[in-house]
Amino acid sequence: MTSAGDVKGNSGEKGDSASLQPSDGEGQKTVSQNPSALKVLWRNRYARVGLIITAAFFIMGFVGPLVYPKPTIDLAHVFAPPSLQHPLGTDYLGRDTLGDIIYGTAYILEVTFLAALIGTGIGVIVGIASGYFRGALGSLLMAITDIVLTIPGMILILVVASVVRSSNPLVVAGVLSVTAWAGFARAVRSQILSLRSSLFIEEARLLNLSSFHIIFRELMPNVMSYTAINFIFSVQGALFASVGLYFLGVLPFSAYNWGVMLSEATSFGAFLAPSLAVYLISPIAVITLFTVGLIYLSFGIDEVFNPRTRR
Amino acid sequence: MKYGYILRRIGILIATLYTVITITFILIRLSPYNPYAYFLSQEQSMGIASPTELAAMAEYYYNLIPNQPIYVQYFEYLWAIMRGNFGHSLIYPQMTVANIIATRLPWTLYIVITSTVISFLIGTYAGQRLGYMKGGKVDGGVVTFFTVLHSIPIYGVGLILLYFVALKAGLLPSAGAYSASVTPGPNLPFIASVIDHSILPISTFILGSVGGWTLGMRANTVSVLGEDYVNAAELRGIPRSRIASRYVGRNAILPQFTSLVISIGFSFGGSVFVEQIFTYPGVGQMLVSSVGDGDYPVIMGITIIIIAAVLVSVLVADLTYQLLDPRVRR
Repeated sequence: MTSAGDVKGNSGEKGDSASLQPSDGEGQKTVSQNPSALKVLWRNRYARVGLIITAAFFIMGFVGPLVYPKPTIDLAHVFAPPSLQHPLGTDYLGRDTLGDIIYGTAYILEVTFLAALIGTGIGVIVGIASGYFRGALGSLLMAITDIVLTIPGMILILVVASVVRSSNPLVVAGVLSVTAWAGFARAVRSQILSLRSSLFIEEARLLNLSSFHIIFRELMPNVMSYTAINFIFSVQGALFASVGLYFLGVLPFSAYNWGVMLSEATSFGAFLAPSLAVYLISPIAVITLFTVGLIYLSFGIDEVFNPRTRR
Repeated sequence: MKYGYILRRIGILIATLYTVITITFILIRLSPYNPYAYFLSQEQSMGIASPTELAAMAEYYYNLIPNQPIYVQYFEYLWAIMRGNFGHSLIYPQMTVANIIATRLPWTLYIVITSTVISFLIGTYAGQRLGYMKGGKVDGGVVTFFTVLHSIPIYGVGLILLYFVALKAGLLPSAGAYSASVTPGPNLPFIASVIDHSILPISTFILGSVGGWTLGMRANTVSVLGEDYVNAAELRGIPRSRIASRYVGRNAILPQFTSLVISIGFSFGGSVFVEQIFTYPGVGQMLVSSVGDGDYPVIMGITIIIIAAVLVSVLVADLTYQLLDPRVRR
C-alpha cells in the first residue's frame, strides 16, 4: 500500500526547491554544529533578502503602530493622491493608506504564523505517527490524510468560515488549517518510511532505545529542514487565504487588515475615484512583497539544517 | 493490479465525498453555530407558520425535519443528496439548489478548464526553454520575474486587470458572461460576446498560475538535463531537437502532470475570487453571494458539487497520468 502513492505525494508537494534527502547518521547533529542559523541564512544571497523582508514586516507590524500615527477619518480628504503628508494617499474615509497598511500588519502576522504553526504541527505529528507506528493506527491516519488531501482547501475554508464567522486570530488560523496539514503529513510520512529502514535507526533499535528517543532524537532532526520549509510555505498559503477571506467579506470586519482594505477599495464606489490606483495596489503590493520574502527565505533553509548543501 | 489501483482511487473519491457531505451536515446542524436552529427559531418567533407548516418549510429548504432524532435527520439528509435533492434557496424559495447549480456550473467549468489547459501549455513550453538557458543572464532575471508573478495572489491579479484593462482603458467588459444585447444560443454574436467576456477571467487564472508551471518545468528540465542518459544520447550523436523532445521533454513533463492533479483543486478555489471580481455567473460567485446572504442550503449544495467536480477531474487526471508514465503502469 505504500508504493506509487507515496512517491507521488512526495514529489508533488510544494517544497520542491529543497526537499530533504534522507540522510545517514551525520544528519542528526547538524543543528548543534551550526554556529548560528542566522549566519548561514545571511550567506545565501536569496535568503538574506528574504530575511530582511520578513524582518521588516515584523518591525512594521509590531513597532510601526508605536511610531506611526493611527489613521483617522477625515472626510474632507477622501481618495487623496499621494503627498508628503500621506505617502500612499488616503482611503474612502480619508484615512492614511500607509497607516492602514501598517496597522493591519500585526493581525495578518498573528493569523498567518498561528495557522502555519497549527498546520505544520498537525502535519508533523500525523506524518511521524503514521510513518512510525505501522498497523491499524498508521493506516487509519493515512486514510484520513488521503481524504483530506483531495478536498480543495479554499472551498472548505470558505464554507467553514461562513458558518464560524469570527475574526479571532486563533479561530481564523484554525479554520485556515482545516486541510493545510494533509499534504505535509503525507510528505513527512514518506520521509519517515525511508528513514525507518536506514542503518542508524536500526542501530538505535538494537540498542533498545525507547520509541520516544528514536522519534525525537533520531527521526525529528532529519525532517526539521523539510518542516521549516513547509512552515514558510504555510505562512504564505495562510496569507493568501486569510486576506482573500476578508476581501470576499466572509469574515467580520472587526479586525482591520489588508483584506478588509482590499474589500473596501473595491466597494463603496471607490472604483470611480480617480486616484484609486495607489490605494488599490498598496495592499496587493504588500502581500506580494511579503510572499517574495518568504519564498527567498525558504531558499536558504535547507543550508541551515543540512551542512552538505552549503556553499 | 491496475484495476486494484482504479478501484482504490474510486473508493477514496466516494469516502471523500461522503466526508464532505457529513461535514456540511455537522456545520448546519451540529456545530455550535447551528444555522438550522437559528432558521427555526427565526421562523418560530415570527409566529406565522403552524408547527406542521414549519416542519414542511424546514424540509423544503434544508431536507431536515425538526423534532426527529439526529441520526434520522442525518440519513434523510444523505438520502436526499444522493437523489440530487439539495433543498431550496432561502433567498429564492422557488428555485431548487440543484437548479441554481446547473445553470451556473457550466460557466465555471468553461473558464477553469480553458485557463488550466492554456496555462499548462504556456508554462511547460516556457519552462523547458528556460531550463536550457540555466545559469545565463536571461535565466536569473526571468526566474525572478516568475517568482514575483507567482507571488501575486490571484485576487490581486484580477483586481489589477479589472481596474486597468476593463475600467480605466475600457478594452474589455468588466462584468457578466455575455452582453444583454445578444440572444443566448448557437449564434456568432453570442459566442463572440462569451469569448469577449471570458478573456479577463481566463487571463487572471493564467497569470496567477503560469509562473508555477514555468518554474516547475524549468526545475524538471534542469534535473533531467543532468541525467546520464541525456549525456549518452548526446555522445551517440542524436540530433539536439530529438533529444529535447524524446529524451528531456518526455521525462521532464511527467511531474507536471502530477502538479496538474493538485492544481485543479486550486483553480476551483481561485474561481471563487475570479468570478466575484468579474461578476461572472459561475458557482464561485454564487457561493460568495450566498455566504453574504446566509443562504446555507445553497452554500452547502455548491460546496458539495464543486468538491465533487474537483474529485472527478482529479481522478481523470490521475488515471491519464497512469497511462502516460510506463513506470507507474504495472
